[in-house]
Amino acid sequence: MLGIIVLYLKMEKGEFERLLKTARIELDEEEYSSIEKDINEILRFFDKLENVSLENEELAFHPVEIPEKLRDDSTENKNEIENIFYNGENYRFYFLGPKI
Amino acid sequence: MTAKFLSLTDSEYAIFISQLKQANERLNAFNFIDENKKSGKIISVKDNICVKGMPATASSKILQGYMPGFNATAVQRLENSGFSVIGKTNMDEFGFGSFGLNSEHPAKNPFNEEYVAGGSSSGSAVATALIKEHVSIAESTGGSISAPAAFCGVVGLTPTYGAISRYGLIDYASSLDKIGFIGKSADNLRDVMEKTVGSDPKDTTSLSNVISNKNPHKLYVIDNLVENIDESIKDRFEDLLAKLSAKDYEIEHVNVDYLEYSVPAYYILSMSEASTNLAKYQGFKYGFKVKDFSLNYNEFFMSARKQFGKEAKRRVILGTFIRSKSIKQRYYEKALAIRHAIIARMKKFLNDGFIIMPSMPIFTPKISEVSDISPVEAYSMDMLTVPPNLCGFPHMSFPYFYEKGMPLGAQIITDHFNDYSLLDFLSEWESGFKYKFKEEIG
Repeated sequence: MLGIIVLYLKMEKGEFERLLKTARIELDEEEYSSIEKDINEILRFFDKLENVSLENEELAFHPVEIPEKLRDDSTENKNEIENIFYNGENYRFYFLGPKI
Repeated sequence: MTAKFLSLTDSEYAIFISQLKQANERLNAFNFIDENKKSGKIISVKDNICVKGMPATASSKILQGYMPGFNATAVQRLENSGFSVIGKTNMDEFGFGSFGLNSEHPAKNPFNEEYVAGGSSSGSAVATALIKEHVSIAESTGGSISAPAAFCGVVGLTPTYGAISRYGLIDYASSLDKIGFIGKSADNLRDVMEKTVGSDPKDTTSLSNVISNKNPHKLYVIDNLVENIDESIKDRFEDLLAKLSAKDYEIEHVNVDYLEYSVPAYYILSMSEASTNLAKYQGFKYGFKVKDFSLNYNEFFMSARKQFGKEAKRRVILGTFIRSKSIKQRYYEKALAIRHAIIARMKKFLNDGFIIMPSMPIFTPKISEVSDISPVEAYSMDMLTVPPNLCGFPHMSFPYFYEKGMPLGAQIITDHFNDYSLLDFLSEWESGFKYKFKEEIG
């Protein structure tokens, strides 16, 4: 258990690089060094939660109860095509994006 | 008293816009001012809430050029009731900040331009202080209404989570975001609140619960929360409690378990949710466009996301990390359990009383004093605003004292869906309090 705590208290360079790729974030030199340092400081701050006892406590995904809402299973013509494409680069109602 | 909003004739309007633009050059309250004549009661809207035909940037370069073709539900409901939007107010990028400094042109405090306006709804608080009879539609995730309201000497009302539709809000953290208001009169705040609350088919988390005004005459002070704040703030707060005690409020000091974990729990949840909500900014649908279609999928997205500011990058990276399968239980699930534990413990007291505390643990800082503090130091400044926001409790920051020309704010919290009791409290407070502003236009 102790090993796991030590592992996450400091994010190693390889882990940080992998994370940047996953998040699709590219950093310049100054950002890289300061954010890498900040992240380890913030994780230490988060690790305050490590020793808190929360047995039998439920998980609150929302702060208030949200009743399940279902819409009618029917089609409607909202005519929103112009709104949807209003801001995007598009060609004949297709968004222009990168190659996959 | 009744609600009263600024409404201008054609000839008055041009003068007003000219004065507003001049003030805005000094204070950076607005990202966008609409110079077209408005016929209705004038309001402003935070720049992460969509107004048809006005830019919506959330103060982010990645949204430069984005122009929504629709109104947020809160905006639409107010327009239907005769309100007109004068412009979009400055803010920390996507709501990521407590001082208003995570913006290309940070808003400045209307009492003294060397001081911060507070964040993230910095411009909404400055606009409210600046414009007569004004209300600004703002938004809070972890304190973005209370903090700037306190620093700018105005009132910030954050409603119960779900009371006002989030449709048309540029999301930060969906389980925490709440549209609310910044104003300087209980009657005006009640008027806009009444016109915007209620369920909306476009937001499945919006609720139709009746908003009540059960007015307790008991005030709980959470000692283990207030003990770590600036000693002089504590003294002023004691003076406030003495005044409220003289108005027949019963004061009781209590402790609430788990509150010391609320700030890390809040940042774990908000960063996790932010990292997914910001995934939609990819350089081809909203705002900033990457024009080089020869780039592959990853290069294209990375190129677009360079436009995020430093704090946004930090939060996306951390949020992505926290959501990793291998450590989800360590951080994310624990934070959800802490939220549940704190809601239950605060509710015990909110059943028969308000909870009251200073809004911020420090006096309004100078811009130079906080521009270089570490992220953890900055996040810790939210220690008083995070608990009600994490738990979705309605709360309100109101000005109660002026020291060396700067305002001080206190925050009062009530139970879910008892929002109007906050405005009843404010009406009573206003009967013996005079707001002060350095300048007002309109």
